[in-house]
Amino acid sequence: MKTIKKVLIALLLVANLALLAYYMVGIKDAPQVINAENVTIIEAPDQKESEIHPDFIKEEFVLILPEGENIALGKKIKDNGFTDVYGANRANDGNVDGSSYWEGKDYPNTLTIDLESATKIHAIRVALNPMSIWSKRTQTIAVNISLDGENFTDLVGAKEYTFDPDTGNQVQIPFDEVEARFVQLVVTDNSGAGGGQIAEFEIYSK
Amino acid sequence: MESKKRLFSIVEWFVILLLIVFLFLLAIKTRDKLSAVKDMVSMEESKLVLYQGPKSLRDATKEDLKAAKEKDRDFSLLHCTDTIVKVNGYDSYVYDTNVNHSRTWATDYMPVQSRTPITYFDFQGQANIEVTVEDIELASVKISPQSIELEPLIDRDNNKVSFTITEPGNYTVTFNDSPARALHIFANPLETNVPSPEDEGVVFIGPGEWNIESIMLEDNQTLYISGGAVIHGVVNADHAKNVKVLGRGIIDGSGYKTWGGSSAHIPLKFDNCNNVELRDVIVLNPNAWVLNSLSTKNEIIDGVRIISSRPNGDGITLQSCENVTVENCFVRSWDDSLVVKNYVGDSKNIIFKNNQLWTDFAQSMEIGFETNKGNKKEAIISDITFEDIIVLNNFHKPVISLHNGDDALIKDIVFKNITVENAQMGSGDGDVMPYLIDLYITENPNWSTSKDRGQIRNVLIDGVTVLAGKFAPSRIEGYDEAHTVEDVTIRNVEILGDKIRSFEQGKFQIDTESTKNLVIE
Repeated sequence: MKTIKKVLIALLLVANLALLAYYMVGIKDAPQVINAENVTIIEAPDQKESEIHPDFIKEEFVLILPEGENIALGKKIKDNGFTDVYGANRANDGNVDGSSYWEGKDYPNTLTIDLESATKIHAIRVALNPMSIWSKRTQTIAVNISLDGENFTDLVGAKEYTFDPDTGNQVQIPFDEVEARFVQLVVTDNSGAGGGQIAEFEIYSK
Repeated sequence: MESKKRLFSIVEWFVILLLIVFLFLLAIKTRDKLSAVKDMVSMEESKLVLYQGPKSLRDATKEDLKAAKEKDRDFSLLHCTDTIVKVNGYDSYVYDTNVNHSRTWATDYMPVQSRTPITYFDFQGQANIEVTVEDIELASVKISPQSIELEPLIDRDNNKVSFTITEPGNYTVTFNDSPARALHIFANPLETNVPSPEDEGVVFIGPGEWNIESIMLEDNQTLYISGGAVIHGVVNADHAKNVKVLGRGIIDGSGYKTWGGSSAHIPLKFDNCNNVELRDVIVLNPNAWVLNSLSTKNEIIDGVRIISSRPNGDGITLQSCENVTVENCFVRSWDDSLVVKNYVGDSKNIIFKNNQLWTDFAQSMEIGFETNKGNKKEAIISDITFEDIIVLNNFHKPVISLHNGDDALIKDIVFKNITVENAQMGSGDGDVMPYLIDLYITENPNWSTSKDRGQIRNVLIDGVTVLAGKFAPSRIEGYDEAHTVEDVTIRNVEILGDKIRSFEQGKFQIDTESTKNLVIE
């Protein structure tokens, strides 16, 4: 019994000391300073002022108009319907800015200009606002002509044209010289809106 | 001799007992210490990503911080100099952006504007944040959202506040109970799935200050604005599908003059799109409204941070949209913060979840007034939910509002778990609608289009807690007996510590002729 007690005291002493040592030095607080390797600093480039982002620098586009004169400007123009406030007369007012554009309503959209008398023509230019906010889009357009405003004949069949602000946001449709009084665009698709959009409808005569 | 032996034996037993008790106590202490250490967030696992701001941004001077009209000062985004933020001992770049503390409409579009600091970083684990505001004598400091119960340590001698966050999120530090120079901290989680500049369809913008004018996203295109980048311009898409705007950078509109009613440059505008993702970006200084989707379907807006200060600076506006989720966003705006309207078609299946709002002007969560601007037959706004929304401040008009200004049917609307930290409805010219909750059918000279009036049906408002500020009234009013507000259940409303159990107690103004089946529980 005597020995057991002594052994017990010895064991308890050892256990106490071991646990005390563990308590005092064995348990470490979680580190409270961040490891420098775990800090990433994303550096800014050397700039003295705001710059045009390299991906947004564009080659200058030089617009070459068709030969002759735009004879559609200010002439009588009508459509078969328009969206919101974007009526036909916005399409030949000589202005492509802001809200000065026509937008058709239900396909097929037609936009017809009366040149007032039979005139020889050889090209059409269809333009949108060239600002990049007018995103690149395609429109499917056909061109018809007429001498009486009632009987139209096909001049250029329906074709998909790309309008891209980087290239002036315009398309030019040249054709062999022809005599017409009424020139009609028929739009059947626009990838950038619900109806055909034309900021300026120009017809060229030499 | 025997007695000596017995005494010795007793002493031995006493020593054994003592050692056992001591061991037991030591074991308890060890267990407690181990548990405490386990609970400590170890910085060993913590990570931090800091973004230098563009070197081209000018340091803000004291002159820049004076409240003034836009035309009378430099409106640029600046580098803040009076608020220093350190995260885990490292400097976090602080921007100085424009905010608006005026509460009255400016007919000349030139309200007096102020500035406030913002900073952002990414982290994992623990972020010890130390904020020094050299020009503010600290009487009190509030950290929002208050629900996280962060206790700041205030060192008044050195104008310094420190606190620790362990969860990514948007935090706002308010000094001396004033909105002036409140600091917005956007603490992001570490970034994953960063697109590569080489990926097809990716427009990648790295750190720095860049002019882009505008980018019109095309089908399957992603714009990535990295942390540390500031871009001046707008990001739009029209009739596009599968488009994304991602990244931690800033879209800044300070270079544009106020829209003045005619020339709005909308930083994030998505019309007629399908499958849109907008994540994380920060939008500052728009010249009008900020994030606008029109007739867009299947859209996720996640973690976008917005601060607007100029007239008509609505935060997130969804016009005739379907299947949209807006979550984890921060919107501080000088006009409605979250808005649903009908422009050309119906609006349905829209959820706003876990967003923080600070509404300097107009409403926090608004459906209306335009509910049928396109004069559509049988227009409907349905299945709209606002859930887990914290409104840090609401200074002007209602927090929760259905304003049916046209002939649409507004139905199946839920507001759930809405917390208002500071209710100041009715400030300035907001006194025309100083409500907490406003369910109202009306004809408005500015915003109504249709000749006939509409209906409001089946509204659940479950859980609205106002922590401080005013005990504002609420209103439920239809237009007439044929255009009514019906089937409204309101429950779990607590205002300034009082549980609201009756319409009278909640200061509800109810028009009995144009309302039916209203219940408060």
